[in-house]
Amino acid sequence: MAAGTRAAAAAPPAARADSAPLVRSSHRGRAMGGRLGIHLALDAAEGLPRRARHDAVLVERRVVAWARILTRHDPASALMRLNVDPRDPAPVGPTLAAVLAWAADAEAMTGGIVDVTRLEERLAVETTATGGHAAPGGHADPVAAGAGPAGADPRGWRIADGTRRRALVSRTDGVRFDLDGVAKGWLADRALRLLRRYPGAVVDADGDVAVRVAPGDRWEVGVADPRAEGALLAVLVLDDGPGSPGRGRRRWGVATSGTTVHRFGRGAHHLIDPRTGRPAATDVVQATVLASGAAVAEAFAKTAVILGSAAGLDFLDRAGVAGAILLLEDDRVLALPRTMEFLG
Amino acid sequence: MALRDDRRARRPAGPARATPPANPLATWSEPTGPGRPGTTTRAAALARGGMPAAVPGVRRSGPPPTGRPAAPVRAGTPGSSAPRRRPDPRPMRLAIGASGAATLSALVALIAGTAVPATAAAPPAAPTGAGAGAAASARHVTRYVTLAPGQAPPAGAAATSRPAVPAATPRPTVAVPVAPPQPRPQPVVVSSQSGAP
Repeated sequence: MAAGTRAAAAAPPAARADSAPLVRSSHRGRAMGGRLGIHLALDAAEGLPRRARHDAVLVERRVVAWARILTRHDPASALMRLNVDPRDPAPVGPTLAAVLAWAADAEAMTGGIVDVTRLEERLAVETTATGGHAAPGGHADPVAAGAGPAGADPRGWRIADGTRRRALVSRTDGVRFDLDGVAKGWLADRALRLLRRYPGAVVDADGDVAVRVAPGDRWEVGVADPRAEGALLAVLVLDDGPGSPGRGRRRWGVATSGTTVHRFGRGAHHLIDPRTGRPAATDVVQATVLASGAAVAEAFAKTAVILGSAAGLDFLDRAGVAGAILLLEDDRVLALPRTMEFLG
Repeated sequence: MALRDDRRARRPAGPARATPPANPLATWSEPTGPGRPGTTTRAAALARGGMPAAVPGVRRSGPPPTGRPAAPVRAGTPGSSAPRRRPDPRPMRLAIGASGAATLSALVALIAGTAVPATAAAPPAAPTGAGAGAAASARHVTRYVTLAPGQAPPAGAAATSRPAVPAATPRPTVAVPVAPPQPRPQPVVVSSQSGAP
């Protein structure tokens, strides 16, 4: 695990007229197979952020431990043990139960677009693309590798309270969970709650960002441009000052989803459309959503990509997100109008 | 940790599983093709070849029906004061009935011919370019007419109840183009796709 911590003595650009200036401490590590950033804003009167660095390391360890429970890449993880557990219902621990409960909520919020039971379809796309087996007809076509339309899909699952901090998961035969689409945002929100003693904090869980803005402070969150490394599509400014478009909101989530990083050939990517069981055919290359939390933003960003630009923007508008920025395959960058209030 | 009971019961139907709202206008679809199976409606038969023989209530040919007996005519009695005979109404009734049936059949044929929307002839969009060529060559021959409330589809036709406009059709949302950000120091936090460098 490559981790580093640095403290920034310089105060953020926002003025804090009614309290002591803030200093920031940043810690960078790795978790969930990607980067993990923990950034804290603390009162300068509390001294140099030595304790902040220590707390950031502790939070990183917690995030790594949670990720080991939720990963699908480790057969020993609680998630993969559930996927092969023949019992029905099967008991699960509190962390996995909490993420599954959020997954059920995300499925309800997105009308079924966020579906954590699509592991088989995703593995089919990945395996076909990596030469594991060929598609029918002898040609490796990752697009056609999905399980086909899910119109009469009988799969279903539910989670209920159990005993002694164990929850019970019931599911139909063949249901296997993949939490890649909901776990990182949940982890970012959960880690941010561990840092509640700090006036302001940001947890960057590999691109899904949970933000808490200190009174009078501001954070800038860039939106990566997938077409050029290091380039930005926009910069979102989240502040708590007078006239803030957030109208007093201090908790935010920014998440980005897209089809350009996890690609497995022409037209094949990791975002499975549950309506077809195949990689979503969409004109959205990348969607970034600004919402009240990272978990919600992650679910909505994924939904916008799967639905496409027209239906996706309509969905985000009706969902009431604070902002949304979409990069389309024709290189246009569109945003909901209210997003402009947050652009720096 | 808040756990919820009966997730499956709360599981909503996805967009593909959504039940459209009830529509007072029912539609029946009728597959057509060689031989046009199922197009045995009376109106269609009239449109193709005129009035079929089995149409109930209408006579095509044959001797005029015998009604009341004609009054005897007495010859050789000019200037007689016998009451004037009224013309026989049956030929006129037959003519009016036949013309009405022909007009009705023409109207039905006209309505059925214009009820097929332009989109019905277009193949559905293929998800990728790979299947676009094959889909473009397919000929969509589904035809349908819209039934008014109270009307029933003819025998042999498949009747469905679907709204004329799908409920999932998104309403237009105003989106604004975003200009590239001004040159500035790179923010400490950048939101990106997971796994991005």
